[in-house]
Amino acid sequence: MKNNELITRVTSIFRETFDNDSLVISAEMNADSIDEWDSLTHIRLIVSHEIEFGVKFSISEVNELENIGDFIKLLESKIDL
Amino acid sequence: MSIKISEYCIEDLYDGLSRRFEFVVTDQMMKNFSNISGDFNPLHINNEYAKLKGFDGVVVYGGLLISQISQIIGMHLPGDNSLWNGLSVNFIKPLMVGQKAIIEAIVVHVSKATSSFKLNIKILHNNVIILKGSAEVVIL
Repeated sequence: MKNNELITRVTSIFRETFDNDSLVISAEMNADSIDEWDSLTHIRLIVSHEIEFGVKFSISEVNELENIGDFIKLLESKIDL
Repeated sequence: MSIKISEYCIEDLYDGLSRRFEFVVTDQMMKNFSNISGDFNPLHINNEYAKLKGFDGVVVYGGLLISQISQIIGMHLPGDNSLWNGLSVNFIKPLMVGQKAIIEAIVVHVSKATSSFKLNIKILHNNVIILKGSAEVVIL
């Protein structure tokens, strides 16, 4: 999978989770950047990515994330690009 | 009725773990639900009306079927410390008052990172699926 394809799929999950078809994500964005990004939405985001990409994250991996950029790097490390 | 509550931790759960139980919706449950919900639609309370509309009798409230999902999550899988994060259901066929039904829930994705999991849920009557859905559940 190429990086731009990955970003497209991640963006699609974010748009569905936040019910916002025009949402554009960037590496610097985090939970402070989107009003609706609360703890339950965070769980849905993580689980949706696990199911979409067939991967599993650990508690420590998720706790160390600072922003979407970190999350995409973590995702890249778990799938074949 | 007293049911012992299960106490699953996220570490206890795995894909394929399932629970099921049988239930019957009674007239009293229908009356109670109309009062709780404020839904007095004749399809659910008037036998003659329901028959005119092509059913064998009054149709069980969809909300009462969802209440059985509440029981299977809140009491059985996982039971204690559970919180729903999402629910999606399709009502496939109607259930009539007094008919036996079986609810089945099966774990299909466990996320230890978020202490949450996904359940696929079915309700069957005479081995025919009448409700199909999925729930996202967090263990607090």
